[in-house]
Amino acid sequence: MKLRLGLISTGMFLSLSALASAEEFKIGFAVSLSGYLAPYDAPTLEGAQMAISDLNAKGGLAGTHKITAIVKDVRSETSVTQVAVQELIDDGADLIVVPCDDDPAIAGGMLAQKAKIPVFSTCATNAALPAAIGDYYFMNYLSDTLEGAALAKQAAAAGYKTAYLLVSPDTTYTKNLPEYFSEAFAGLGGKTIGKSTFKMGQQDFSAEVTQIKSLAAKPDVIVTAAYEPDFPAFIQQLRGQGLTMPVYGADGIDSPTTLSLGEAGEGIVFVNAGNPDGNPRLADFFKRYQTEKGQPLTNSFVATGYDLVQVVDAAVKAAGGIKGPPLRDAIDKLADVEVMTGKVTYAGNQRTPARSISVNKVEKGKATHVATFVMDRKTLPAPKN
Amino acid sequence: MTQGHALRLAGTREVIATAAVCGALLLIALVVSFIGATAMQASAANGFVLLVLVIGLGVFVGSTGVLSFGHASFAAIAGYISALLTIPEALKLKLVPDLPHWLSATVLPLPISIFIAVVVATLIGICAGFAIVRLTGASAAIATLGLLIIANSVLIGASDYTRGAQALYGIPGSIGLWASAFAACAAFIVARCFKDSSYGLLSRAARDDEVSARSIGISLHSARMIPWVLSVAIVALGGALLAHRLTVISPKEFYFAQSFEWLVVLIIGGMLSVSGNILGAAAIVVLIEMLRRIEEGVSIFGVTTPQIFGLTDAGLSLAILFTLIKRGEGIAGTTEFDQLPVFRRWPSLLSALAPGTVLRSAPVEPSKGALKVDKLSKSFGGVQALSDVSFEIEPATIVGLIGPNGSGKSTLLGCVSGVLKTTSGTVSIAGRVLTGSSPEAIVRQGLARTFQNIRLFQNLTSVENVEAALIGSGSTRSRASSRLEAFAILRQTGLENVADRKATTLSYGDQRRLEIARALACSPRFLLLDEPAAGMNEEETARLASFLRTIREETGVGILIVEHDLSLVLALCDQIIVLEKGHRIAAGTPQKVAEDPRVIAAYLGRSKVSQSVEHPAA
Repeated sequence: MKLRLGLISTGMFLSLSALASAEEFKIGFAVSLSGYLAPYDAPTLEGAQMAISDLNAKGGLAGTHKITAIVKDVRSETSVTQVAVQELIDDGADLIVVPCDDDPAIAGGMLAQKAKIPVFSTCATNAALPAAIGDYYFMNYLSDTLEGAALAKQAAAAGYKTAYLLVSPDTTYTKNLPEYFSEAFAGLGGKTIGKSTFKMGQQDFSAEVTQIKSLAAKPDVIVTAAYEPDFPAFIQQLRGQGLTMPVYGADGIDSPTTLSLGEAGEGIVFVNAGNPDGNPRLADFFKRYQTEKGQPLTNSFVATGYDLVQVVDAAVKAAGGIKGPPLRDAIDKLADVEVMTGKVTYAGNQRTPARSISVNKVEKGKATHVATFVMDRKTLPAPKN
Repeated sequence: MTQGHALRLAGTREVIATAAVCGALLLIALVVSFIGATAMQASAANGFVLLVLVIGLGVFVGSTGVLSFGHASFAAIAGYISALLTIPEALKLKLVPDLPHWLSATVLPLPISIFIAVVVATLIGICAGFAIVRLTGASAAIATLGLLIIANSVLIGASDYTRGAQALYGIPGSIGLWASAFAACAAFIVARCFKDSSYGLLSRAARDDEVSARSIGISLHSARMIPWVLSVAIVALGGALLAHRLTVISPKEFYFAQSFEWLVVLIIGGMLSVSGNILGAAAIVVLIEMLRRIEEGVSIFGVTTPQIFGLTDAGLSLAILFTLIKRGEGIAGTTEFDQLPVFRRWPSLLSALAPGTVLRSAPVEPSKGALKVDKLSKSFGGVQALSDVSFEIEPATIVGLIGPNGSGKSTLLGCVSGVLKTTSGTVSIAGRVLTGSSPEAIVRQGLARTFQNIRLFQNLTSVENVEAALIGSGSTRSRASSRLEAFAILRQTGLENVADRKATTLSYGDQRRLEIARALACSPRFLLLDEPAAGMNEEETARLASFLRTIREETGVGILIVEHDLSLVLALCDQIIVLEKGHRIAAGTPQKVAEDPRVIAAYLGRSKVSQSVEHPAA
């Protein structure tokens, strides 16, 4: 009896949403197309726009709601993000996308939260943001906790027992991600035996390399979330000193530079949102991008931008409406959504998606796929405030 | 018009203009609050906060000429303090659990927390100022850059208080359009008043020329420290307001990008003008708002333009380039709003002293006691520039100092006026030893000077040049009385007609005269003139000679004049001292010196001497 009632109500909702078919869906992008966040926000927007045109060709979200994109360049500035988000709210946006860094994501997210409009950050990785902003804020990209845990899982799988961290207090990412690794690694029986701190942009890593070289027992693996220009400098100076232990990095080094480091770069392991090497659907996407845009795709943000719109599509399909609370609730309940890079689950994850994460290794100047993990939420470390 | 009446009216124009500017700012706020959507109100409020920051920065940059990158540090400090004093306790315990208990438990009303933030940031600014204001020009700019980097590292390092590089959020966003607009008005009024205050005047004088600033008694330390402290305070206010606008801050919100942005606004508007700060901020805000809309694609008569993102940055860069090429001094240059025609109907500080106003002449006390130079020696490394030079100048006499090039004349002037340190020997006035004192102390003992290559305060008007000397040397304190006295001196020196012209625009002869006027404004008992007739034609030289005689008679000042124009020296001077290779080789009346065989041999040449003596004073 209960089951039948459920079916009936689902049917009613379906017909209701069909009735509202004329209604368009506005996605407001308050993202950085210039400034330091442009390398992350711009490709995410590009991918989202590809998904939008794909979906609109099939009638829109859930096949019924045409998507309109309103794009505003916030120039990597927090105050501009606030103004742009306010404008998007005034323009009646049904969903808002904010930049890839904490300050503008929080400032813009808070406004959307107040207006009860679901809001995603393009690629902010700080897992503490959903709690900080509120129940309308969802992460889209990999979280620091997820990356740390995946690296730990890979390290344990490789049989490593000891790790050494290279952190920088200059950003949340470079500071916390290796610590999340350390926590997850401890849970898997590993041990962190030391830690060096660097200043971003310092270039000279001789002090850190000497510190590692002077360790009585060398670590099995070095883990860092450093990226350009720090990471290339570090790895070259480390290898230059004859230290050959494996180095694990985060998605920040998912860039052509890492693949062009020659001898020093060989064997680097890093995670990203998806490697076309191990994912036929993604491989097709990379090929399509090359054909459409006339240049090779060298990052995963275009694909995760595509994912974002697919997530929205799935939510609209499930939701009883396309606005505010019902949409929010629908996103929050999504499980095992098939997206471009793999699978995404929001249900039960406090708006931090459990999504597939790819482990890759640099071999002969190419990023070879090692493994894809879909992490269990219970193995993820708690986000640091 | 009586003098009292004139003084009361003086500055009416400036007051009305400032009030009008504030009225205009508030009107903008009013219009935006009525017709603007929430987003536009936010933009306008951000614009006003930007204005506070730029005006604050401008107080220092405009008064010292030093581009400061470091002010963002004080905006950051104030922003963090005000944030920590206003974030709800529960959130503080979660975000910054290691905060001292008393600080977590303290949650203050916004105005009080902003006040505390400004006070603390200013105190820190005073400490930093002791190091920064010792430097000038590029080294000072580099030092401020260092300050910015240090402050950023400290903010990141002090993670118990600041959360390090992580965002500090939950800051009450209670600074709206009106609060921002009123703060901008307050900042403008303070900065505008400071610029025309006696402290502001001395700072601007020191900015234009350090050496001559010291020669009229200005202490470089306070000339830079006072605007530094004031500007830090205003920028701190702006930083606190910014924190409450953003509601989320991290150290990178107060770093290079922001410092550059504020400097760009300052440069576009005009660094030397407070009004320029407003014009710069308005130009930038309006330009950004326009470009932002154009780049998103606009519909004009049914035609939609394509989206061109990046247009805002490109447009801003072009605007900066265009301004720098077309107007190197920025939109406003050195002018203020009160110079606009619309305000001319009211008397300004200057016009209150229009012709007809009764002026008293500059007070110069009759001098007692001689200027005595005793066995003065100066060596630069191994080169003996002066050896045991002695002479005396009685009040109300004119003494000429001559000698071939390189004989040590300018060195002697430098040593007497304190610009150069003497190796041995003493200089005294009426028995009071001056040797070893700083130039600014020496001028207060009654010794003023001019410079061989004119060193006026280029961006100041004639009357301000003289006023700076009156105030710097301690003759007067207030701008009202300094302006009156400066006018008297300008009238005395025949410069009344160019009183409100910038020094740099004066004719060469007027610039020379203004140098003398400025030196006279220090109420000197003795005046050192370094080649005052250089570059003057015969007529101008003759006028100078009679002018010098007049001031000697009227004021009893003793004059030491270094001059190459021998006819002038022979005609004008009561005594002549001749230097050669750092030695005094002759001294006495013009007649006696001109006949001295050593002088003839060393310097003048027989035929020249006879000529000059036969036809004195062309």
